[in-house]
Amino acid sequence: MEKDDNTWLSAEVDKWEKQGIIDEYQARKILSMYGLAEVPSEPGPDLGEPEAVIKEEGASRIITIVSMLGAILVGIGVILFVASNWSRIPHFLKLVLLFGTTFVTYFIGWKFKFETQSHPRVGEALLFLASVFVGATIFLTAQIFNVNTGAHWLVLLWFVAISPMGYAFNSKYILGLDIFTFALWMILYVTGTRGLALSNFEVFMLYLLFGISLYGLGQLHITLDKYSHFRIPYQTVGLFFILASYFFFSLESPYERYFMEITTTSVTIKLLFIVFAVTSLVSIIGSATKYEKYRTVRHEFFALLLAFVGWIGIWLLTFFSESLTVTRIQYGYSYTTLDPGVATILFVVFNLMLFVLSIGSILIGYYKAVVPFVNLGMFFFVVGVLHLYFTTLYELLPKSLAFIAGGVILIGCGLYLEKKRRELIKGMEAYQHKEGYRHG
Amino acid sequence: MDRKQFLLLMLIPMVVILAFLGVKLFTVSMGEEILLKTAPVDPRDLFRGDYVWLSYEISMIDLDNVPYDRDFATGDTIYAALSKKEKFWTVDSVSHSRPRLAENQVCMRGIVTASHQIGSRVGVEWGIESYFVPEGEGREIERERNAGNTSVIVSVDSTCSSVLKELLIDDEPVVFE
Repeated sequence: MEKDDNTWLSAEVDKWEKQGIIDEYQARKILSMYGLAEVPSEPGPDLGEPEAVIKEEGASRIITIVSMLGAILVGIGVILFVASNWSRIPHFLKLVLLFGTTFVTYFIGWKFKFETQSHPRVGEALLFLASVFVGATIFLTAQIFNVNTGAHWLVLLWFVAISPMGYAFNSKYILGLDIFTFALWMILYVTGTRGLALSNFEVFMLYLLFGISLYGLGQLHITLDKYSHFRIPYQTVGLFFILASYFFFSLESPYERYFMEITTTSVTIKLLFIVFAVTSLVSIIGSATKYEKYRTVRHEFFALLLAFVGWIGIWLLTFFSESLTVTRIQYGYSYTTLDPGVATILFVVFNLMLFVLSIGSILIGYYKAVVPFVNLGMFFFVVGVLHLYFTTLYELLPKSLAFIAGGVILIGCGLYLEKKRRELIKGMEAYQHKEGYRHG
Repeated sequence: MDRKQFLLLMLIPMVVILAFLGVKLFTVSMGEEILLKTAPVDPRDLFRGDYVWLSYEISMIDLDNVPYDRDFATGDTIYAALSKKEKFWTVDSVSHSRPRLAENQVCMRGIVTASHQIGSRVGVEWGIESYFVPEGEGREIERERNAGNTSVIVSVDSTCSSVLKELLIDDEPVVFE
């Protein structure tokens, strides 16, 4: 092999190892075939024995979870202490306390994770805690100035302040907090403009596009070596928003009264819709380009396309609002509601889409060997069945029989789904070993 | 990540929080103080934890009696020009953009929270509806507020931003032990 080829192969193998496609033993074995590394001894306790690796990963995960829980408890304690003694502390001291706690926590976290690298897991937990403290600092500072509770822009400030931290500290937990704050801001902003009742459909229309965009953003991370492990958090949250939106659409009552109220007047919300519609399209096109190349992308492409087509369909229907609605008079008041025939069609279509997407999520999870996708799909499938049972079958049966039948169905479903889930996860492991890759 | 990169990164949350603090301090220190009358409201959904929810006479604007530029929709930004009448400040006109002010006027910026269902009146949230109190002190203030004895001092700056500075009961500042 030429020197250039050797360099290329070493770099590629290093990349595959970082992305978790191959383990350390396999990497050294490949390189040893081309004389680029010593022949590794067979996997044993010293080098990459799968069980040892699994134990090590398990221990690391426990340390992270315990540290994270500790960080959250300390955070809650500090916030409660400051909040309960709030009126007794002078303003200046309040600010010193808040700033001090936040930035000292960041500093210790950075020291542990990056400078000394002595306690990376605890360091990660402290960095996460400090990012929570940024929010507490903003909210408690707002309290000094009697800023209205529930002011959406406070959450936006929090998001802006911590948005680079997930990448800078290479932490998927802080990344999760970033996504959470942004999603929270959106719901506060949208519901703040017209009230919760009038804007609930609008919120989920936006969340649907947000979910597709997040999924696509996750896909993009495969090409970023350093942040390739951000793919799963992004895509899991993206799928959650897609499925949660369709679950909401599958409920009959929200769109019966409010379906025709989804046209927003706010420029900011219109802008958000445009931005997320464009990013959703880019995500779908991105999936389409890989469609022929990878079998695993096929389900992903169809799921994203279906979710987006559903959104387009709802949006197009709003243009025909007058012909789809009827005016009713109740208690002397007249109000507009969706035509019952149209409402039934939408109910059937949205429920079907929820089930197809839930199954899609399970399939994507199966082929990509991502357990959270399977769990999410299972969860929304069960919730969808429960909803259908209580909204349709329940009405048709006598109450006592309905409860007994419901209980039996639930227990049966639970047992069957748990069995299937285990089979799927086992199958995923076998598939991974057989295929030997875990690409996007 | 080295020390320099870490310090640079820390500048981001610091700048965001300090900018927020600066804007509020500017309104408090440079703004003009005005006195607003609170309005009694339905007490059932008011006291939430350690703050009192205040409503003002200027929270509901009757467009039949107040000049305005064009119709308001829920979620619109609204600007009000206010001037002092005897003791309290009241709204002279409302608009969608910052108004030109006379010497004796100040302006406030808010969000329209209700524009229909109530005829020609619009409901407005001015961002000064929450007043934070020590634990357990809220109920007494609510009683006074609903009896109509409360008013507030609000600081309003040239950008129409406002900060609630002080709560008064029977014209006396509320002091917490």
